[in-house]
Amino acid sequence: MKKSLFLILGIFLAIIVSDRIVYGVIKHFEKQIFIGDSAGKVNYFNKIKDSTDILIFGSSRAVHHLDPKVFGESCFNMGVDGKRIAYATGLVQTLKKKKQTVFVHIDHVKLFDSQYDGVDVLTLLNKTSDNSQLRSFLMDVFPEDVWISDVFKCYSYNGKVFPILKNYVFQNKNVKTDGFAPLAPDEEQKAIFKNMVKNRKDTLLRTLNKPYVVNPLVEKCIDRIIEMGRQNKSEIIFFTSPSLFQIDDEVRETVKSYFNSKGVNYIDDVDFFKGIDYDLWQDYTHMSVKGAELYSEHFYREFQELKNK
Amino acid sequence: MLFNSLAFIVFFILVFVLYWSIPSKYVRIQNILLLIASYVFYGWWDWRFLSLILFSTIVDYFLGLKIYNAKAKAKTYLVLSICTNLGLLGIFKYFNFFIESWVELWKIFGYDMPISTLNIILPVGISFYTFQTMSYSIDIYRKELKPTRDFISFATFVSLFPQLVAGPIERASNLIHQIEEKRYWTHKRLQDGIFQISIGFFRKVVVADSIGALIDTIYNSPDVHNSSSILMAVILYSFQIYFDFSGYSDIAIGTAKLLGFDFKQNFNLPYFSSSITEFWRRWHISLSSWLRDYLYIPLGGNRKGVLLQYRNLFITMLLGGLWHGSSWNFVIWGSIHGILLAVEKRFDLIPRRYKFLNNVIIFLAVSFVWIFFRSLSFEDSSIMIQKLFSAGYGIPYIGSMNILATVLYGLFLMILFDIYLFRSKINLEDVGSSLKTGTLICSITFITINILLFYSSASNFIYFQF
Repeated sequence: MKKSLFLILGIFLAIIVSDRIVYGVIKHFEKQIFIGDSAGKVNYFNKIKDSTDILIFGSSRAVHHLDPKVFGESCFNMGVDGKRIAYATGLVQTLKKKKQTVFVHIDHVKLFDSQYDGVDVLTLLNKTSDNSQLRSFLMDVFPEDVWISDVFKCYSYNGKVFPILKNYVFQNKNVKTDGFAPLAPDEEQKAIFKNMVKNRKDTLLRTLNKPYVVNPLVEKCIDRIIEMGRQNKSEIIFFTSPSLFQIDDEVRETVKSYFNSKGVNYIDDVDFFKGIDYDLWQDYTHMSVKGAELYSEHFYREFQELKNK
Repeated sequence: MLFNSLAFIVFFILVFVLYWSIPSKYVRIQNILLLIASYVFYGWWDWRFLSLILFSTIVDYFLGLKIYNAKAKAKTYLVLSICTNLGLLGIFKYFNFFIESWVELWKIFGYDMPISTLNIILPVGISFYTFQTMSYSIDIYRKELKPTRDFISFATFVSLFPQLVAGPIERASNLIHQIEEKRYWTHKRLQDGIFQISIGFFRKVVVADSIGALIDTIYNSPDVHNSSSILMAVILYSFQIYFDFSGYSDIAIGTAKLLGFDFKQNFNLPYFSSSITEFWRRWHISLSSWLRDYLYIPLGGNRKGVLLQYRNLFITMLLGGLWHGSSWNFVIWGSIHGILLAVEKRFDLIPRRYKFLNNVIIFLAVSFVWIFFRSLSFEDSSIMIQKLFSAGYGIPYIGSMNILATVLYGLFLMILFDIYLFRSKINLEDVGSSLKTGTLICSITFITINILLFYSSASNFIYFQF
């Protein structure tokens, strides 16, 4: 039994020591990268967030659709593929600058998606040691994961090692970006998409089952973002970018009323483009660079109108 | 409760400490603790289905005693036991399937049958524990086993949590005496168990789950993917299912070792097989040996001539396929294996000059048949096969480069490890104790750090659905 206890203790100690060493090495590399969705873009964001006037958050439908250039120099698009409201909230929690404008993308369907558990925010786990607001948000949503990452530090870099190493090797020394990532589908991709549309059997209109209940976690995130806006005297604007999937008018009205009741601005552009122009789209939910340019200009005008109200 | 969850890790540490704090002489108290723990483990998923396990346990406990004591009516009690177990499976697993198939059949002839299906959930692990209890009754009937008179021991045998929801399907002849006898802590079991658990976790959460994240999109809509993507998905799925299920078995066997039990080996490097027959000797050993002992041999095995042997192989594999799930795809998957096994008995599947490629050819054949196992429908399987033999090869769909890199890294490590096991002729079950303490500590540390860095978010084990 004694031998066994020593073995268990030995394994535990070896894991803890190795964990700290590996974590230290990865962190050393990670700190120096400013490209890539897994860690670099967040580092870049942390570098510029307190000197930027306008910030855009959201999923692929934010990062590929809104060109910050239309807003001038001081705008950054912090949208990331596959990330949703919990991730955006985590980042918004870290803002300190007063009187910023913060755009947050939200999809109608996702607002009512009862399956959404906010797991996308866990990619920010490696930043909890640097930021207490982010840590408190994560503790609120995923306490287990924060505890595990306190004991096993490497846990916070789960799924990030290869991208960090790749970006460390390949990034340019003086990275400068506005975060926007336009999509430029090639002829083959266009043909595939055309084919998909041609063979599609069901309608592009999405409906939801009643009653429309906002996911409690999404609600919590929205409230946190609004609260941060109040504290920093920043302007918060939620928006829905264009999609070929259209949504029931009743759902759209419900979303509009929801944000009205919260006292925040909401821009719904889901039907900005009428019909399908294949030059403007990469797929059903993502616009091409051409579509994004047209939309960004339109969005800028909508923003000006809101400001002048 | 999933093995790959924090809840299980905390649960197991608690059970482990409590269990070994009870002196070995109080084996009954240890068993009561294991029984409670097993019911908590199962009830964590859905407590309502505990009644089903309890029912199955009570029925087979009493019928086991009856079969043993009755001289004339032993067969009646055996039939009752088998009917109860198959009845449970029939209601919860196959009822809707057969009703729907019946309705579809009549539709072909233009009749619309007004039969409705049952709104029921498939209880996790039902196929495993019903097979386990059935084998108990059959073994007693065959006079190969004495029934236990201790209900707690029997209930612990049926529900022992490491093997409750996805096997291995442990035989009473191997497990019940271990439950009834005193169990002593041995350092060897700790070394072997802890190493096997680490490997199991790596196989599952790093390799299998990452592959799943890569290929699920392709299997879910094969019509929009090109031939290269389909080929990649087919090959990778073979590894996914192997590492998923063998990973589960490793965690189960390792966990049992830490509690003082020795389970039988469930996987023995199946992709190193040089024939389909050998593949089935190495793949899901507890199920294939169950099917052999309780279905193939009673059907006549190879004792009644060649033609009947082929028939028996076919029936066994067809039902083995159906055991995996209530879908025609599983039936087709099992039937193809049955045909291959039968053909292999008569002819050499692989020409002599290609014998050196035995392993690769068998791997490709098995991978091909997995298409039916994984596809969502027969239509999807057809699309995939059609694409595999068409000229539409191009750049495969890769999705996330990060996931692909993780898959390749994990596969590289695990294939290398399996080659090591194969070459050194050592079973994974015994590797831990064969290593020096320092090497063991370093290996487990390396595996754990890799799990922390590369695990893919928790998803169910594939075999839970069976």
